[in-house]
Amino acid sequence: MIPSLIRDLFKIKKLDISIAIFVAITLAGIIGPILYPVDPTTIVGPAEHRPSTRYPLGTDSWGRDLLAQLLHGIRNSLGVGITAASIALAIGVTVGVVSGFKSGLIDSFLMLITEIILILPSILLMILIAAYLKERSPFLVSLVIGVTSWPWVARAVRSQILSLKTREFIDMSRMAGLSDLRIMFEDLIPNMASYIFMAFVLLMSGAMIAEAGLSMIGLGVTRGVSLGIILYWAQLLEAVRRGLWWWFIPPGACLVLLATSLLLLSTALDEYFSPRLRGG
Amino acid sequence: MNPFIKFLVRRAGFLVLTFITFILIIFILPRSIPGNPLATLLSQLFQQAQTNPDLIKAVHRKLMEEFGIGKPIHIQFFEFITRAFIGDLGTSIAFYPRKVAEIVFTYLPWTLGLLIPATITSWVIGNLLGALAAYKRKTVVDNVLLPIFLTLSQTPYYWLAMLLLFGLAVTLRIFPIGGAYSPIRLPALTFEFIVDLLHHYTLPFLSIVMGAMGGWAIGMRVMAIYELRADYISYADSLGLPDSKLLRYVFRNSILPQITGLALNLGTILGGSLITELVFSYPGTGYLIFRALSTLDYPLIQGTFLLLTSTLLLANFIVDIMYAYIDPRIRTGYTGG
Amino acid sequence: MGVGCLKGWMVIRAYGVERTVLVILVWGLILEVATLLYFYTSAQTWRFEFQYTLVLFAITVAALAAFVVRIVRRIRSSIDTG
Repeated sequence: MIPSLIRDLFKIKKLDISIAIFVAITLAGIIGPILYPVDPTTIVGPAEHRPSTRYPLGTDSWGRDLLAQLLHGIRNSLGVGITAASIALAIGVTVGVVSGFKSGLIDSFLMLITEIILILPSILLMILIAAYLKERSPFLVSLVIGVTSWPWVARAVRSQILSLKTREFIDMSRMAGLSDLRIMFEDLIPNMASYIFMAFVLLMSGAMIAEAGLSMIGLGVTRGVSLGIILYWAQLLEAVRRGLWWWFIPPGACLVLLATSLLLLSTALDEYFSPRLRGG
Repeated sequence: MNPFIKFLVRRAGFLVLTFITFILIIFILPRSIPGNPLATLLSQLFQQAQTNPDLIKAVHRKLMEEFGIGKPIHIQFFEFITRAFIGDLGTSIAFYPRKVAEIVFTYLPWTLGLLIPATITSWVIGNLLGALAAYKRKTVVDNVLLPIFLTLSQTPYYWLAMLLLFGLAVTLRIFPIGGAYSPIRLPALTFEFIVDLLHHYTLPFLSIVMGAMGGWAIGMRVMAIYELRADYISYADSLGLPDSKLLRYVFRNSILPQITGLALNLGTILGGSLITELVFSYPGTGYLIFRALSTLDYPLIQGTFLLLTSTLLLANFIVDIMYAYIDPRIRTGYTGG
Repeated sequence: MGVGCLKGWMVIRAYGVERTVLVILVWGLILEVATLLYFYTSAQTWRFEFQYTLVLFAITVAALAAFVVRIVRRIRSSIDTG
């Protein structure tokens, strides 16, 4: 099944391009720092040097290598993205499944919490929580982002469960005496696998952008580099006004490319899965 | 009971609940940091070269009084709420002795000035382009526009801002490099000032419009396509074609509505606009929040967030009621909470 | 946001794009009114920020009016045909 799935997926051209872009940048992030072992945080050369053969992306105002920063930045941004998305997905799916399956009081209560978090603007919530954290490790930042992004997943998952609940195979499992937990795991979740995967992709792209936003305000990871942090320093040191284009253009471009390719990926997957869901 | 009244009461209850939750968060957070928050604040002030001892004493006294340190927690909370209701949001630390309310309301119009017109404009443009792309679905027009919209929807406004600032202000020198108006001019309703204002206004405005446009366009395109298909379906239905059933379910488990919803998320738009102000040093609420965060001016942070969020919740409530009033189906179709 | 169990598509169809704009406009309106009230009752009534907000207020009201008319028209027509 998997090989034919992959073969069919690749028929969708959008997928080719988006996967290519995403993989390229991801690889750069993973392998890059190994192939280009320059430390992003030490001063290696003259300040504000234009891109040259020695410093492919130039240096920043302290004389640190910007290509190194970019490569490490991609790595960390992706890391935060994946972690945050996983946290959000875990919470969202759990809440959605439990809520959809066990209607009644639990359902109303969970949906109430979901709606409250949904309505409060995520940025403001994130800023509030992050502002009071002294040491912001990548995990903590991911946690903050994850905890503020799950509501829409819960809602969507819940509505899918509600419609799945009425199908016959659930009744059969119930008649066979399977416990609720088993039904949730064996019947419901596999049916939503495609949706869950797409949700993860979307969450990831949103998380990376959120991380960049937090970093721009100064609430990103306290140590280390990420795409958002590079932009933060650029902003702080007036890189734009000083015309240091090599500083702020690459990180932003990478961020946009990563987020967009993920988005394209999810739309392509959507195209692939939707008609199947009906026909299959 | 009249379903509309029921709906109203329900939404009002939700509004109050959310509001209380948020206030609790705002209230508890600064007080949950281990150690005396005042001590941290004051040492911060000291580091910022506020070496005037009288000033520090005055700030300390003010803070003690307003935070109510030493009084039991529920008294603190009660004072906090009642003060907030009369509009006293405390005194700022970084801008001492200005009051938080005065500061916030001075910076607020600049943000609104950018946000509201930019939202209107980007919606109108996005709408038109989105509908265009939908009607010309299989043509070059759509194949070019859609990726552009998708990319734009994921482009942070502040990065667009950086590009515009670099391209048009630094390199080409057509526009000023920052601020809301030239520092030598005094704000007044004169012709020259307004021209200067608009001159400084353009780039931030464009950043937000271009960034937000993508989202609206995608949303409109998706809706227009749905409408087109719905037409096709009813036509197919009337011809008795079996395919109609298939098409109707094409959208069932699609993630497309979600993509649209996320690109148009109010949090994203708000956050994007606020950070864009930073890039242009535009004296709006975003810039204010940034300064408040850098100087750990807790009263200012609290006050700003309280004002922004409570009004937002109120706006949500009003819009819910509006929709319920206009569309009777909502009131009866509303289940679950 | 108050639409509980409406299916994904129906939500977008009935609200989605339009609702967000509406909330932003109404939110802006509330904040503008608050600003106007604040400055009006304070010592510095006719500050520039006050005048600026006044202009914004006019724009926001106009936009809201146009928007609401559009929504009402659309919903009324879809009720008739739906």
